[in-house]
Amino acid sequence: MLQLTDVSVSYGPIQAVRNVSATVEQGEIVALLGPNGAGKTSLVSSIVGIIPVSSGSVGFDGEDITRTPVESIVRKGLTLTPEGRRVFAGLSVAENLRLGASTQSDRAAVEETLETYLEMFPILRERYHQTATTLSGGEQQMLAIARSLMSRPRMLMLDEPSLGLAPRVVERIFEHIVELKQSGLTMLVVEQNATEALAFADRAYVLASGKLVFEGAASELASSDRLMEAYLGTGVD
Amino acid sequence: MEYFVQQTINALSVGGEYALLALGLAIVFSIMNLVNFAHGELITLGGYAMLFSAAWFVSDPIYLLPICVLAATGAAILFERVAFRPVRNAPETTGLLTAFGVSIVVQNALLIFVATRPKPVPIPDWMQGTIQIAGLHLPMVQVLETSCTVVAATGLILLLTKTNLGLAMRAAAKDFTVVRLMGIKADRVILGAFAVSGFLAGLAAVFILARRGAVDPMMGFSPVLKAFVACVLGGFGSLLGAAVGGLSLGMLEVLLQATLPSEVAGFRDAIVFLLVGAVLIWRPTGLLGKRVELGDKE
Ligand SMILES: Nc1ncnc2c1ncn2[C@@H]1O[C@H](COP(=O)(O)OP(=O)(O)O)[C@@H](O)[C@H]1O
Ligand SMILES: [Mg+2]
Repeated sequence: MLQLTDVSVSYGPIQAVRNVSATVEQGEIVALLGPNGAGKTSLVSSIVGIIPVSSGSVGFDGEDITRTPVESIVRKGLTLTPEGRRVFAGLSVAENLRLGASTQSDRAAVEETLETYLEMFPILRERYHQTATTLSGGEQQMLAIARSLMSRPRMLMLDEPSLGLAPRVVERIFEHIVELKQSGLTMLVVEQNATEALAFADRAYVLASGKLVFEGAASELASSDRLMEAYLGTGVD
Repeated sequence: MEYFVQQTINALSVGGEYALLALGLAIVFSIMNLVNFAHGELITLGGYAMLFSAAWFVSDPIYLLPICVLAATGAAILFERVAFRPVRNAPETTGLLTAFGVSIVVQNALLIFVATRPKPVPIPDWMQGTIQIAGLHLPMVQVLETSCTVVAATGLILLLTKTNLGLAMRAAAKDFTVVRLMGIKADRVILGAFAVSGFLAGLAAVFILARRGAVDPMMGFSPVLKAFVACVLGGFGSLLGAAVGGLSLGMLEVLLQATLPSEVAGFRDAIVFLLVGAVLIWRPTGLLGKRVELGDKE
């Protein structure tokens, strides 16, 4: 579904991502792991067109989207829930969700989608008319995910959905990710919580200093203390 | 009593005019981080559109009023398309220099191709007269301007809260990247902001011209300066701040005009700026501005 070929991303002279080739197949959850500063955010931001790809190419559903503007990529059914959630402060939960549905013209379908995700995240229904800033971190993350889903994407990329959240809340978010996979959504999940992410992912890529250092089945990485230690520094607790 | 009401409506009309101008400046700034110093030229171009229309095809001056508003709106859209869009992703200073460039180009084009001296613009007679309300004689321009400001402000609030474009504009003021991530076209939001700012400038221009009765190439300078000061006073980036700043600035001017002894009345603007400076020492981020740490997005 998603095909990266030799993708590099640069900020001026700094190369944040170097020649990354990777794929995500329909229906999969793929984990993108790696330490802080590895280039994970740069990579997903460039895929969705927020920052330019400096070389290489990105394909979505067999179509080249390397230089496609972000608005058009989202309209093709690929979106990103950005790192740090970035809900619209000062706007209500309802308004945040309405903005998420901007690509949809069929009102009845929008209502249906809204109902689906208010069902999935009941707290958003409870807080529907409150401003987004009054929500807790976990609630904001749910809002950010629901907002992305309002565009009815076929593939969702999540950038560190667990960032700064308490373990109990992280668990809830991960349960929702599994629920979304069961509904048929394809996902690429960026995480620093490697162990937990590998528990629900099908496959994993590990990025270090902008380069891919591992690719394979999630179970292969999770079951090898040697690999976990080498790439993520978390093998032996 | 009559004097008091007259001065109040005068203060409201001047304050309203500054509020319209400041809102236009603020709406573009909040979305693009661009202080559009060419905002004053929208007023100038609205005025020249009236001049040319009157000379060529419009006989009844009432039709000149919508022409002024349309011309200013069109000019704002044109500025965006031709000048600001190419530098949209450039550093902020580039945008600022572009705005100065647009301003200078418009002024000089008018100086070279039209005339250096002021030219009279026909204004409907009834706008120049007075209107009798509850036994009081009030200048028509001021009553109309105050009402138009109220209607425009209400319209703006409805646009921003009830329409999808308005919602997107408010969201873009917070985080433009994420607005695009919602699949909303950046061009549409920015064009919307410029169109609104041009419309508000055109509305203010109608009344500025009704007061001055003439156009000249430099006439946009004073209004844009007032709008800028109003934004700073209210808190830059906040729309409510711009409205409050504009109203306060206008009312302060009228208050000083009415109360200063004649020997110092010539220093009115200097005194106004001094007072604005004092407010900024007391509240460095303006009346309604929030303190923002360097690097914060919110
Ligand atoms: N806007 C930017 N300008 C310059 N360098 C950046 C910018 N964003 C990220 N970087 C650099 O790119 C590298 C990768 O960052 P990032 O993609 O955020 O990594 P991760 O998401 O894996 O933590 C880091 O060295 C970081 O300092
Ligand atoms: Mg990151």
